[in-house]
Amino acid sequence: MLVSIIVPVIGDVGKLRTVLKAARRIKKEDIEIIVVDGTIGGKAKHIAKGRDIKVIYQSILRYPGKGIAMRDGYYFSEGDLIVYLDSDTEKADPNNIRELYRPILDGAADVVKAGLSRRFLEIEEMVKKHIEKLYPGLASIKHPLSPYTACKRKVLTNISWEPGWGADIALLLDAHRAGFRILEVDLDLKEKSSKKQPPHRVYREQIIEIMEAVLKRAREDGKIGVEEANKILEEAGAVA
Amino acid sequence: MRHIIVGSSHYAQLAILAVREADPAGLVIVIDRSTEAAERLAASVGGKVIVGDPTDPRIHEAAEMDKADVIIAASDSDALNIKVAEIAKKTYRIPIVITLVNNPLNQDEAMTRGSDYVISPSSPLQSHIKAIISTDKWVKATTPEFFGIDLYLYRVVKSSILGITLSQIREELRGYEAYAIGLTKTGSLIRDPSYELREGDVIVIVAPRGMGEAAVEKIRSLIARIQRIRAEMESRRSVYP
Repeated sequence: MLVSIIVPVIGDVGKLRTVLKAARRIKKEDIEIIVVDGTIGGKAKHIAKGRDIKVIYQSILRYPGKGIAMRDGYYFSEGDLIVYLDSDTEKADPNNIRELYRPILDGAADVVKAGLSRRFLEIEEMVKKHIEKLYPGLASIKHPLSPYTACKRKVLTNISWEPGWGADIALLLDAHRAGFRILEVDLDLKEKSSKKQPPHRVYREQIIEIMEAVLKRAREDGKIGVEEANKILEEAGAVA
Repeated sequence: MRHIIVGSSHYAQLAILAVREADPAGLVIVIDRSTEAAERLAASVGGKVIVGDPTDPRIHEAAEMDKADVIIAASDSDALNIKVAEIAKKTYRIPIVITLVNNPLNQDEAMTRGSDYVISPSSPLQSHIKAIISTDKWVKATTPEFFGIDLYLYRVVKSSILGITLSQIREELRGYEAYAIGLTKTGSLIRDPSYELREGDVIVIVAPRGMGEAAVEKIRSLIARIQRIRAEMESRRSVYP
């Protein structure tokens, strides 16, 4: 089975070198590594160059463009199993990455989420609260906004891609709505205390994008009305 | 002819109109994951719709890809366009494969993977901005790859090459695979080789692809030489008034 490890790089290259080094050390499966370069001037390409890594530039250089990069990576990949990693992973090592997709190899899940992103901690609490109510089947997922996801290729054909920060939660929700089995593994991939909260304005934009992705789906599924969705969105913006 | 348009992006809407104008009687097939988007796009030219993943062999079969004459991969994902173009060329041997890249940096990848033509609609943006702002610098104009030419433009300003003639420039390019033409500020072609360039005139260097930069470098050195001579003359004049 070919495993495609996709590393979207948006904004800056972060710990890309460390992530690529760890991914290349996985020997148990056939691995394809894809970097989606969303930096201005193609900085990620320089790091990936000469390392037997495929690079595609993000189609539309809209920031944040997280979902655009994730979708580009998926289209560019050949693997039966897709793994998304954060380019800013401080504790990337081959065992950790492999643990992320191992439940799929073992037949225990179609989608695996992992890791903790400090940046989204407060947003995550808010999103979790709404998800528990709207999609109780996902109530056990501790970190729904984690950027670390592994899934079978067929899962991604069911995704309605969100272009920005809503991409990770959209993937999780759409996989759940399509009936795929979702599992969460506890992996320590990111240094918990190292992430600073982004500036207030950026933080607010992130919350709004993420909540819009959730509420759009809840409305499509008839779980919530327009007025209630708008009220939740207003509250989310106010909390930020 | 049979034309396939993949995607329903902003550019796909422009591309489909171009196809219809170029081939009024041709069959146009639109492939897209969104039913609504595909139907709207196809309806604009009386085309046929296939809804689904454009990399899926079942969709290729439904679109009779093996019978297509032209395919234009014009979704808003470069990765998808490149992949579809590769399949179109290598599996179905479609004679004309056109790939649209939204990010100009993906042009080489698209060519390498088998596209016959790569169009980067946003490429002219950079050269146009440079042409507007940098009046005293050479600007490389973007031309489609298949023309096989380099086109460099230079707008004459006070500090640079006023008074230099077209014949001096052409003489400098002797032995180079390049040709210089001049346009006046009002857009007329300069026919007289002894015409001295004035502020606002434009020099155009045309060369086979890959050879333009050397020619431009040669002109740069001519300009530097003339400026040096003028400066020397100016300093002598100030010493011997």
